Amino acid sequence: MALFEILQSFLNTLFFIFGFVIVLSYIILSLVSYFALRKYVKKSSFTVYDRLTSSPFAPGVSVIAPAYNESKTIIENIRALMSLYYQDYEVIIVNDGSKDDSLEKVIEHYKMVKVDYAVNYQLESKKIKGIYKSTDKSFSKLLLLDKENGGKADALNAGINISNKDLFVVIDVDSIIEHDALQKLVKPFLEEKDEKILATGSVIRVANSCEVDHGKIVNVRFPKQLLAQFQTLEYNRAFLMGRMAWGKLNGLLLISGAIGMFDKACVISAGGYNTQTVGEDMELIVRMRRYMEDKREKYKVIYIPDPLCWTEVPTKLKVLERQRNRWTRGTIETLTMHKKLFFNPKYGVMGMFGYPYWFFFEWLAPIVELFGITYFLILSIMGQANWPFFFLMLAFIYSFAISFSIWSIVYGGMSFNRYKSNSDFIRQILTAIIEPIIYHPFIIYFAVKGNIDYFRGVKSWGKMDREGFQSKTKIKS
Amino acid sequence: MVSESGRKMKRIKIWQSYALALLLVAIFTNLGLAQNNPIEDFSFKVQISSSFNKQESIIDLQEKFGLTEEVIELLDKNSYKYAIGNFSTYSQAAAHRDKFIANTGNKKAFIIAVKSGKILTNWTRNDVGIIKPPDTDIANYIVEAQVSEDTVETMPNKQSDSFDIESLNDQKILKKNSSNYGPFPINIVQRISDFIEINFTSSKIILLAVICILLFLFSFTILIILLFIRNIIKNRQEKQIKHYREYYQNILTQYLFSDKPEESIPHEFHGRKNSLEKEALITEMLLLHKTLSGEIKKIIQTLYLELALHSYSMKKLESKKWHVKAQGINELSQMNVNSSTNSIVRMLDSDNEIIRMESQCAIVNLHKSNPFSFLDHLKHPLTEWEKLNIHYLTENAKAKIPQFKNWLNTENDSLIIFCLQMIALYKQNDALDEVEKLFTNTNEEVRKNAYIAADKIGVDSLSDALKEKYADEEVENRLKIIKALGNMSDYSNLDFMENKLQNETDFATRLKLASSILKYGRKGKTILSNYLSSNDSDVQRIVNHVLDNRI
Repeated sequence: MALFEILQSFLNTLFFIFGFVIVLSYIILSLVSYFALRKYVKKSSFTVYDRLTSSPFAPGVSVIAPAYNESKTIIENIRALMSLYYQDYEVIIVNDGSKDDSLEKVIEHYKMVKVDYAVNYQLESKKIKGIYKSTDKSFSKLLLLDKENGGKADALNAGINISNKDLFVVIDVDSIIEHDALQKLVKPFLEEKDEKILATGSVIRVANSCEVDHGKIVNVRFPKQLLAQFQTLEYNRAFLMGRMAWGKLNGLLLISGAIGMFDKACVISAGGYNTQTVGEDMELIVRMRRYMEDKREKYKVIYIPDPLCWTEVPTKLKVLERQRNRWTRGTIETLTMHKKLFFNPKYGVMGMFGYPYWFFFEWLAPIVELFGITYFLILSIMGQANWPFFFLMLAFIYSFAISFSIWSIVYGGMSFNRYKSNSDFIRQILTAIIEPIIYHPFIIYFAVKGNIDYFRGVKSWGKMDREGFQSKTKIKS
Repeated sequence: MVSESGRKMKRIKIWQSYALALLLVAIFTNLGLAQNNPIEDFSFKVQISSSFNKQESIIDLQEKFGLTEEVIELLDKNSYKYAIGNFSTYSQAAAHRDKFIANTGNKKAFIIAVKSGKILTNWTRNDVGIIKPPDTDIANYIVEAQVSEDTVETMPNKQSDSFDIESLNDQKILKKNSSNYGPFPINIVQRISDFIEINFTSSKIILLAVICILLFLFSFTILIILLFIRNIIKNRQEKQIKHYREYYQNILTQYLFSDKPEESIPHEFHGRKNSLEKEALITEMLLLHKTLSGEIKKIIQTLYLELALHSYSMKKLESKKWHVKAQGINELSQMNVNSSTNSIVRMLDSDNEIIRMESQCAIVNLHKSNPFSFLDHLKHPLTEWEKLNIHYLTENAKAKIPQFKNWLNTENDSLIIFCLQMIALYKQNDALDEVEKLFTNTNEEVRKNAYIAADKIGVDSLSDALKEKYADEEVENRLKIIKALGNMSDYSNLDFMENKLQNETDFATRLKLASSILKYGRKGKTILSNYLSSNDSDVQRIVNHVLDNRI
């Protein structure tokens, strides 16, 4: 048989199996998500979160927010963090060597002075220049840490070193946190009796086009800008249909860096955040899970479908590209660092399902897709393409993609629906219809470029340009 | 000057143009190639043999019939068909067939029509020589053929040999004899490929793909419609509920704050109500019951009973849906319906954690004289969340606080821990001896909470026992012991703690020791001040930290 025909057979088989498995896995994850979501929503109706606010049984929480060049909005953001509905918590702002006047602004506004704070250097970080506390008692829960620039992971490690509580929450200082976020994130830690909870994460919503007042979302709208609309759908699918299911199956490998609550002792035992990767959020969870598996202790990483964090997504292609490039590189770095997990039964669901899923369908899928398109083009040039079959498969993929998106809109409606107006609903549907045609090719391109940059040794974070949240204004989109 | 993003967009557009151009070239090339490729397109052949489920050797066939020409193998479902010749007209094929019969005597040879490597079934010749299959919705392959009158023939319509013409797959289905597979591991790939084609033949994949597409299209069309309808219904329901709630809120407020409300219940409360109305009324009553206090609470409860709403809530306990049950328990508990206690007690050991928790909270609320009676029969471990809720209700309901030491001998460790936590919270000094006994419990978590309870009770007599246990414990429990020693007033503890401050290596422990030493007032401060110029940098930093009253 000619070599080309052998290759053709092989590739046809490969694409067939790949496509079949990916579609099947999406369907299974959607079904698991559905039941998990339904149960959570019903359980939530019986939960009086306010009981946590002043209960002696509620554990203490450190809110750690790294800040780099956030001069425009840092005062407002800290104010919002200081007014969360929780009794026993502290706010640690880590100034990661900002080049603007973020540090000076905070010191002046919150009347802070340098104190002789003894740092417990359990995790390595860059040099700490000073720790500040407020002379005003009403800001007694605020701690400001000033250090040399070392990146987000480094800043978080420094924040953990000065944290006084058993749990800590990581947030992006430029995101908006719901006032009851700490209550909802802490609850899973209190509910579990047999398994140790390592971390909890939640849905992240898109804040573009929403009205913000003093650090709070007061009016939720579906974004007006097309790119933000696409990302809203994408986040919906990823969080409500993907992570919800993986959380339920105990195979979740990622708690978003925008918001997540962690067991401090376990994080320290696992070695803290890795400063050598741009995907430090995913890498930490994988390492913590490995640590627990190696110790043969039962554990869980929980995901709750409550939207507790609002963030501004990129509205420019250039910025989006930087973000996705970094996410791709972060994924590859984490997968490479923990390649021992690959189909390793010793690591349970994580090794046999979670890791392979990320390997094949989060990392390799864009590459396989691009390869498939190239392969088909070659076949076409050689006159061997089956066009009717091609169009049929295209119709299959397109209709599946739209269905999947619409199911995610349904799930959003089932859970904690914030888009209540009919016009928002219609716009979501229309976005779902055009997304596979317009947005998806860019995502493939960015992912492939991320792969190329990874193998070229690119390590940078990339600059993320944001509009910022101003009081009583709409976030431009 | 072009910006970076502008250049990037330009590059993307260039690549898109290249891709489009390649696609167009491919389309036209394909159309051109397709016309002149007889193997890929349509041809008449003469079938000379077939075999069900088993391949025949082509070489053997050639020998058997004395053939020098190529014999081609075609797969038709589970049958292998062997044919010779490749003719664009029927008459040419017929001539060849006749020649074959004459040479071999094999009268079973017949003409088949092959399209893209697949045998066509049920094709017929009509009077003008057009050969096409009967009503199919598959792509057009109308072929003109010359027909000779005496060689009219149709494909034998054998059901077992036929298959539906659904394939649009241009892949060659020329199956080679197994001896023609490549070497290992190439033959494995070929076998997998053949396996997929045999068992998931193109026709099946296409059928599956078409079904899936229709399913997806159907599902998202229905979904969109349902979502619209759901939105409309939900908005309407919400409006209705809002209307009912506002209505009942007004009437309730007027009723509750009127003179002698207990004497006349407004007629608006009576009469048949649908479930939405009942839910709205109960919700408003519960809300008012929660926010108001004093006599008004009792009036609301009386009203709830007089309107027989407790029967509606009791019915919920019989529901198969856990959330409806839990809601019923919640309503009966908040409205202090004591008659529901027996029904609720039965649910204390439910497997559903929500029902369990609601039942526990209900018993605390309903049995104010003995709210923790359920602890005697507790089988499931108590979670921190359950404890939190029980404590909240205990405080809220102003229930009688029992002596929690009564449960410190149970085998349920979570219950022991809960009782220790409550002893600590309510500073139950009477439990001193029992707490001390738990310093030697095998469960680390129990011991930890015993130290915490000792801390809260703050009795100096426990100092020696705590100091004795220090060496046996890990860091976390040591911290609790140190904290407890810091809240006592036995100055002999200072020597112990100073000694540990000098010798400990764990930073957190040393920090806790310094904090506890400082609690001994001036004496403690004096001890710490001696370390301000210590050679041990960690101790120095720790002491500076502890002595800085801004922290």
